[in-house]
Amino acid sequence: MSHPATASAGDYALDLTGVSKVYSGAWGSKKVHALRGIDMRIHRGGIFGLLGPNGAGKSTLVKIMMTVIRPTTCAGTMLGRRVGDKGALRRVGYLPEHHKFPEYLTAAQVLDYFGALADVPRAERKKRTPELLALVGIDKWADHKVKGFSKGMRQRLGIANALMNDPDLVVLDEPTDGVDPVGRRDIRNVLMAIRDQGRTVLLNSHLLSELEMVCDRVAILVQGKVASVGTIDELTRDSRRYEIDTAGPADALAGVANGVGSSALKVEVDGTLLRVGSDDAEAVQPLIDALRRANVTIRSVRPVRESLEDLFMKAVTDPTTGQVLKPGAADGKR
Amino acid sequence: MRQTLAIFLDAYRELNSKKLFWIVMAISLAVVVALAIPTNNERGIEMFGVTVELPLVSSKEISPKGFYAFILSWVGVNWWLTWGAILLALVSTAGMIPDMVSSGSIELSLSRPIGRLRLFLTKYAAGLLFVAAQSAVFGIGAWLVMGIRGGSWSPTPLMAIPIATLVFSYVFCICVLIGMATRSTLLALLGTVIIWLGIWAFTTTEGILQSERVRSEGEVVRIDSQLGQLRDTLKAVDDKIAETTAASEARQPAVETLPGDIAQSAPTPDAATPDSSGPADARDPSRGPPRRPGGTNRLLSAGRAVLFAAQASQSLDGLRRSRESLSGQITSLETRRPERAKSAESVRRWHRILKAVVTLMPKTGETKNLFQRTVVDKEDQEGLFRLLANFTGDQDVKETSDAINRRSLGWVLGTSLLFEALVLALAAWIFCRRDF
Repeated sequence: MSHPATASAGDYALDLTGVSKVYSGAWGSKKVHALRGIDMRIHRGGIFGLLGPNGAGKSTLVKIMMTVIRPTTCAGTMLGRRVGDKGALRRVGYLPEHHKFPEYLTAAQVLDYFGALADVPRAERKKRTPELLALVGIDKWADHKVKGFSKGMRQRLGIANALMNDPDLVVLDEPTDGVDPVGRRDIRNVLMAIRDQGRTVLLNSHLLSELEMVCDRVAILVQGKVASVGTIDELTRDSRRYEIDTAGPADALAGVANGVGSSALKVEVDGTLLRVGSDDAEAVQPLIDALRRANVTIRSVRPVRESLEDLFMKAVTDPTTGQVLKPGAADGKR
Repeated sequence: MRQTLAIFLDAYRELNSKKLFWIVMAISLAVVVALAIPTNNERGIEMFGVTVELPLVSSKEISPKGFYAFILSWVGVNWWLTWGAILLALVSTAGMIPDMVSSGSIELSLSRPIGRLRLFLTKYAAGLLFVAAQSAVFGIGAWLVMGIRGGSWSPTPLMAIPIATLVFSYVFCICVLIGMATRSTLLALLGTVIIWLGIWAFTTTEGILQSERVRSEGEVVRIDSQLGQLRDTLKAVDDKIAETTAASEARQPAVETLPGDIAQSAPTPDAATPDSSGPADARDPSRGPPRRPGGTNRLLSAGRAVLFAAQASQSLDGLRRSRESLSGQITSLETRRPERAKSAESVRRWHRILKAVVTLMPKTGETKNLFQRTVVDKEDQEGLFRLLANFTGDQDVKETSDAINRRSLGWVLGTSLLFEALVLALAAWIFCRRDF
């Protein structure tokens, strides 16, 4: 991981080492290795994205943190306490995937009930309930039963519920699941507001474009292991380059590329497009000069990098076969 | 404490949202009101100004307090509260645990700073609220009925609340275990009802065997008692024959009367009537166990009648005929005794086996009978036994009831609560160990 070696345990919202989970095979079926030794550190503050295909172990990891699943092995801390410690759970907010609130409760009663379960004093619950419902935009529905809520409203209520205990760490599992574009933007704004309050957010989502917009750091889980982790800049550094779009002609482009290109500056020609293997603007200037000298018309020069989706696809693709890795981790071996 | 209260409040909100809860509540109230309408007077039961002639439940036999205590316990508790209300409560609460452990719901609870065991036990206790609320309505209503109509303001009718809740808890723990294991409301409900009926079948059979055991053991004791009396009488007849023979030989007049003890044991002509001796004895509790009409009593009475006739005639031939008759009766009883003793032993053995099995089960029937044991006074109990004996035709109903009531509160509640604790421990173990 790319954190300073001097960081202490208290600097991390989450500091996990060797988290594994093996589901015993029932009725003679194979054992399932859902997690194969996850090491992960998340600094306090900021939004951390957890990516991975279905069956990669994202939800299992989150559920282990939230004591819903018992790990096979797990070392490390959450908010400076061992994972599963009730004191730590008091300071963690959680929105599970496909959560189901009791249908007979109103939105305000949901926050009151789960707030009480989180050991939040009554006075504080009464104060925070209208504030949180307003934050997620459903304050007018405070006294309406959950039974009549749309999926989007339930998600908003779930986020408010995750914030009820004024947590230091907020764990959100697919918070924008089933939410329309307007709702997604609202949720994104809420997430950034939470981050700006100094809280840490762990975001588990399939929506890579959403994550790319809000996450400071991401980890990609594949088949129960961390395939890569870092800031989006760090992860895309190798893929950064310049692309020069020209009007041709192609034979002139090949001559220029051969003349300017070297082992230090790789230049590829793709039709009328030139790809320069450097993210340094200075290094591109000689190529632009050469193109002008060859009377090539330049349409645009732009820095480009891989998207999160490209990174994700690269991580979930078997480099030897080029095939996308199968979901899950049920091979009975470690 | 905050978390515990929150779970109870949530359970109340859940019940409050269910129509069935309020329907059952209304039925409980209606049952109490309906049971308050009839009253007993000197002739029988009076309702809406009309008297139904039922001497056995008249105020001469049972006090008004005893009358209400009986109908509240027999109809109110035995039938409604611990059958009807519990069945409807099961329908309402069977989904509580499967809903709690369903995906999307359990994460919301387990991620809170509350231990799994505490969460489980609190949820279980909250599930008992349904019946506790129903029985509170019934108990308070029964207390008012006993006070206003029966003239007794004893708080004992309020025992309906813990007793009904306890009976429900025996059944609900099974529902919780099946719900936890299968996560299915339907299976939890069906499984619980089937097991509940199984327990009922076992405990009812045990009760029947208990009754049969009392009856058959009583029969052997009665035969022994009658044999003793007949042998004494035979000895007296032998003495009389010897005396008469000696007197005859000495040409002396025969003794006018039998010895005092024999004379006392000799029956009156009325008692010699076979069918009258049984019920007469059964009506007088001071004369020992009630005697069944016919059977050995009839033989004994006939023997006494023969002796009486012989005594009256004072003839040696008559005494010899009496002796033959008594010998015949003794032989008949001696032949029947081993057969009855064998039958009693067989019943005793099967009862012992079944009782051992039933010991491991919750005592729903005996727990609900605790209400009757608490509410009905001893003097009213006698009247009730006469009523039940007449109603069921079982003359040994008192002995059977006494035998069951001799089982201590500790045994009834202890074994039932042990069963409940074991079932709950298994369900809690599953809940604490499971990955959701």
